[in-house]
Amino acid sequence: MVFFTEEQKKFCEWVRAFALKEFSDGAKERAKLEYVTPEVMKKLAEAGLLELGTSAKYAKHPKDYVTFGIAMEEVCKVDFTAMIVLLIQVLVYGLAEWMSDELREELLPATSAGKKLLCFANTEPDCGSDATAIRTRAVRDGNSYTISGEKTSISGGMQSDAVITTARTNPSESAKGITLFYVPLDLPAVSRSIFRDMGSISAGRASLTFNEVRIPMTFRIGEEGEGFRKVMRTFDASRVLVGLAALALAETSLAETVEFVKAKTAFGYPLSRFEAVSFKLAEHATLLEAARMICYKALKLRDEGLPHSKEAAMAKWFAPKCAVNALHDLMLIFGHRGYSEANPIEQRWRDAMSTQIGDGTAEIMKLIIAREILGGKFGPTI
Amino acid sequence: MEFKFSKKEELLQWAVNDFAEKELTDKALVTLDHVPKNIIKKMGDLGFFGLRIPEKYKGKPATWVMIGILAEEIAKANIACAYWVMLSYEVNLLLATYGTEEAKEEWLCNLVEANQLGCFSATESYAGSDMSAIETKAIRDQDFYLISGEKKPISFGMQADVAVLFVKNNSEAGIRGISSFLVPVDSPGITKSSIKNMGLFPSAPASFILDKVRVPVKYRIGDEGEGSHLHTYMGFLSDFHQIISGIISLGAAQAAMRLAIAYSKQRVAFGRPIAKFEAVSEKIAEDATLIEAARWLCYRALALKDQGLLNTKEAAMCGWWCPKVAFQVIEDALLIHGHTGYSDDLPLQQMLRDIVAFEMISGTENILKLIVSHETIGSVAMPDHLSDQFHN
Repeated sequence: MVFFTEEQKKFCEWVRAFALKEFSDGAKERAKLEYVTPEVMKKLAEAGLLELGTSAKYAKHPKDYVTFGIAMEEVCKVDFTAMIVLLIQVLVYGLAEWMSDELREELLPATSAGKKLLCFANTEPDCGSDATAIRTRAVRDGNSYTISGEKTSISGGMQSDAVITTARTNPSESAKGITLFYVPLDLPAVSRSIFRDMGSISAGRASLTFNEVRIPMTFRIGEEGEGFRKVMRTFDASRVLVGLAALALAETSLAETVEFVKAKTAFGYPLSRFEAVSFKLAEHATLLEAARMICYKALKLRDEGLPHSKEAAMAKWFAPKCAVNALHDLMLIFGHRGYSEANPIEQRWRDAMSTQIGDGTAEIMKLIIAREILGGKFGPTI
Repeated sequence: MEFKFSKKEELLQWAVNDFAEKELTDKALVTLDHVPKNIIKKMGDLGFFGLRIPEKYKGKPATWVMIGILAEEIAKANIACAYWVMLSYEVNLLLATYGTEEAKEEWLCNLVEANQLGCFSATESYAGSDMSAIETKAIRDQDFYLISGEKKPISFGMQADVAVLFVKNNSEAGIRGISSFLVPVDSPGITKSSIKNMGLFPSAPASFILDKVRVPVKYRIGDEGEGSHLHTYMGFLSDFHQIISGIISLGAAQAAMRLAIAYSKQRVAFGRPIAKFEAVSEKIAEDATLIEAARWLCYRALALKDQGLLNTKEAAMCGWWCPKVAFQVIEDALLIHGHTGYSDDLPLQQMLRDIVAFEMISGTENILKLIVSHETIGSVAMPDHLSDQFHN
């Protein structure tokens, strides 16, 4: 990438080699498991990849978000199951400064060591895109809160040790009535159930039910009524990183397809000699590159402390869409081979589909972009 | 110009729709590795495999449009069953038209009544779009042929009793050295193994390794070297294959769109049903337009066939475009459902996985577009090395 610093370029080379060495073996099998293996978490932790974006002095790598993006892209090129583990750091470190000292001291060392997995919950059965319509309630009672409600579509929900969840502390306010809480998932009043999904199986997507879960005050993150605003700040990073993870799936498959069309012949010529094939590859290479540029631009703006919600929203709808479209076409170039489980491409296509939905649909991203470019008076009315 | 079905065609549509809704919508069916035999038998008893087959072999007269209606209505409920119907016709029609009298007497009634099940394969590891690359060989040995090689993937291969296989009887003659044979799947020398695909699980795809399988001459379908005439881009079955796989795709697309429409009225976001948002309603409007256009393209291609007119161009258009339309419609329906569409609580994710198969079933998009190019531009558009594959 032309605008990477020397340090970022070096990191890119290192993490690429690391991912290939550590994650190539068994990646295809891990994609079928309903959890991220402890080995993957351990290796990421040992390599310092679970301290990205941290303020910890001992962090091994630069803490900028471009570096984070590079890690996400290069690791997911080899093993997409790492995505949810890498991604949760955005939330953990993004919210760390508002955590109570007890919580921060308990949490940060455990997550950066890969010993604790967290997930984030906002979506409920009756609200997804309409994120401030949540109904889960948190009621204060002296020095504790009691939380009740149902959260759904939680990536990592089955495997995680704890969740950072939104809950309503004030029923008469909209966004300002929402507060963030840390809830350990081994509490008896929490139950969970899994979704059987078409892909991203290792995310172990779950529904979580809180049946009067009691948690101490110290598990509240930030003040009451600040949850939504604080979480939105982290979304601008996680959306871009999801985009890069999706692109990684397509980039690996594009490289494999390039080799395939050179080797496979039809009518006496390599497939690569047919424009119907080679131009399709050319088109997807272009779109993937364009999407990748938007992603890194958004991260670069974030690193420079400049506004980037619009670019993050662009990255979130465009990169997953480009990735899914590319994977679909590449799968068809492989023909019946592409349709068989023997080829990893079908799994990648199914995995990439999830990135079009999670962390905000394309419609919500376009809403954000439309508001930015049209302004309040002429923009969407919601 | 009358864009409507005849009374007889309408009656069939009602009957099949009724059967499919009752018998084929069980959610458990889509993840089985076969189509349950009792379901196939019920379809056989209703005459679903006998349209256009001579009455002597338990069939009855019908229009080509009627086979389209049958496939479409079944596909609305169950894609794999519709695929089963399509392939059964390919076996049955081929046998009825080109088979020897002995082979027909032995197999055809049983296939039409679904006492026995047929499957069909031209494809090999290195021969898909390019049939001239077929390597499986048939060597004549007096009243028999000895067939050796590997055919894969063979849809329904794990389940079928008999297979129509396209193999080379003359390795020097390229595309004109291919012949087709009816091969009982339990013949000595056949080793079956199952192939795991990303979707269309009940199509029981298989690889057959054939080691000197003895097939009597009476089981040859058509003359030696006539195989490509029977099954290639412009062969006897190709238009049927292209149109019906298009119609099946659109049947599935209509089922997906129906779900999306219902959900868009019921799901509320920002205080209103999501159908009120243009991002949702325009998607449905676009998809409805595409389905309408694609569906009439298919029926026009069948109507041309019913009138004995050439439909090469229209059929190839159906073959590449309809599955693409269907993919878009189903993907849109899945995404309109958001995260619920992604899980197996709803049929959409499986439908999307299934429909990808139809984007390959009639040959690649590229090959089908070559046919359209040939028909619209002329032979100048053909790559030189392909010219002998295109014969009328």
